[in-house]
Amino acid sequence: MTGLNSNKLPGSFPAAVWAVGGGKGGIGKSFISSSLAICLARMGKSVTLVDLDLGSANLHTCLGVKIPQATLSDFITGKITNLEEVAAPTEIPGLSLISGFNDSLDIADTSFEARQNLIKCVHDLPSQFVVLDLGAGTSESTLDFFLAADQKIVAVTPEPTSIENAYRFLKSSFYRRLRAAETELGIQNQIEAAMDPRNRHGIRSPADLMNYLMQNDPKLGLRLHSKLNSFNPQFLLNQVRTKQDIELGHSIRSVYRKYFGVDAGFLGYVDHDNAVWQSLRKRRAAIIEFPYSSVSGQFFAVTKNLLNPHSLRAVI
Amino acid sequence: MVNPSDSTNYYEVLEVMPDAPAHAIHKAYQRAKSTYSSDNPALYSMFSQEEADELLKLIEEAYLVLGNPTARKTYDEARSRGESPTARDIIGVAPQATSSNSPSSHSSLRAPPSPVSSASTVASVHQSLPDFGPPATHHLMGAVAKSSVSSPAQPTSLTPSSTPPMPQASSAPAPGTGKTSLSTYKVDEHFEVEFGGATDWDGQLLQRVRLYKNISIDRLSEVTRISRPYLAAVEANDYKALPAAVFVRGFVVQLARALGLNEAKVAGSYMKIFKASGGK
Repeated sequence: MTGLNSNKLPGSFPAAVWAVGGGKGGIGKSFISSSLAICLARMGKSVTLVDLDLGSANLHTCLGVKIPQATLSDFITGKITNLEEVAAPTEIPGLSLISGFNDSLDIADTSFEARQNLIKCVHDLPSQFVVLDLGAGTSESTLDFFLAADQKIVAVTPEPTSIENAYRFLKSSFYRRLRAAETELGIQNQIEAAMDPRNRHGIRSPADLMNYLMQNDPKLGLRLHSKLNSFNPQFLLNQVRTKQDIELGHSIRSVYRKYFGVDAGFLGYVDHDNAVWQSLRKRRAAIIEFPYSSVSGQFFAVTKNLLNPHSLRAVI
Repeated sequence: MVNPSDSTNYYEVLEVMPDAPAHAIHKAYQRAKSTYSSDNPALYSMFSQEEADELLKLIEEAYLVLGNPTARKTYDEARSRGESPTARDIIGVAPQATSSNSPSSHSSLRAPPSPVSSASTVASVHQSLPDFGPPATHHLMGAVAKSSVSSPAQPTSLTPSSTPPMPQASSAPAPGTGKTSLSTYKVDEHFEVEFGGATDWDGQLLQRVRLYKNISIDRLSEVTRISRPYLAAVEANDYKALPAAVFVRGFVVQLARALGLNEAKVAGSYMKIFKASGGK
């Protein structure tokens, strides 16, 4: 599973796909994905927001859009063949929404082929950016959508439950990516031998595995490393209340690096703010309702970091 | 940042770029220390306490080299020759804490030495700075004030019942005893007069005041959050082992504050000596 940009036909629109995942429910994935999409639209980009929280989609409510006519299920069941036709405009110029409203839970378990087709069509949407709002949990379809994205955003709040689920989500995605990389490189046997609990290599984490390979077969180690380094998830800390909470973002990134042996980013944080639920009650996006709130500013900063990763300060 | 899994590369350990300036290394060290110390929620479900302790040891080791401009230069030169030197190769000390610091050996190290033996150990440590371990797991510098030491890295390893009674700071010291925020001690009027009027504050005098006021280097390290090798180097006037002047001043200010001394006077005097002796 690689970013599908490489498979694109010449001339097709190269939409940059941002996926927002995180494992746990209620940590603000829909809020984050809609806010990022609005920021992009406000910066003059064309954006399609896709509600992939299949089964419990409600992005239309976050954005204050009427219950849509066409939804993703129409595309998945084949009623509509062109994904673009499912997209409905919103009141925000440049932003359209593909809603998942009315989708039954069965659709969350779409077949592999249907998923791949959807992923391909998502990348071919005629927007500069596509933002995917993923569901909670670690279902295969969620992992595949996450892995296929160009920017893999992991939402996390400073609670142990959220952190634990974010790690679980990342472990599931990472191992799925690792398995794909093993097949691509034809090294299943070597990896299996290295990971065998009976041997004495003491490999407890992907970082150990990478270290072991670097020492014993540097060429292979480097190839695997470059494959897995492209995974590169970006943490976004939501509902921050204190300064220590912000430090937690750096800690999570460091723990990820030391456990998986590859890089990750810390995009920034968004405050815990009553303005968010006030606006949700009115079924309006917080960024639209309170454009001068700190939350608004923080989302614009995060969006800029995503648009220009080089502007992120090195490590400290 | 080529390979974050490379534990032999101290820059990767501290997660800094190889051209990072001194303040960035210092900041990264503090951040890493807080990440892998105590029960940081970010560790949950990824690293066990023992694994975190191991990482912490590596982080201390990395900072011992990268936090010291001379050692860092030697390290960089060795790496550019394709070598992977360790702190032991660079600083030329045996990392005893590293070899004897396995979690299973903690219990045998827990019996704290008497204040006298601790003092002499501290003196010998000045020569070689052999401390790579996280605080309170190091047997050489076993805490004198163990009962009041709570190690961030080993919150469960303390057994207060096995430690000797330590004079605790109480609200009303008995006549003839003095009191700091960290300890009580027996007043020696001659020495009080001596350091009260002192104008040349070097490491030795600081050490004498610390021992006089009955404060262990462990406790001091815990309160000031300055790692023990640096505290020992400050006391030993080992300027080569210390980082840039701006950090040293910070160390001395904190040290003076913890010892209940006039921090401006002590830091001013120490820094004068530090600079006159070729400190950076």
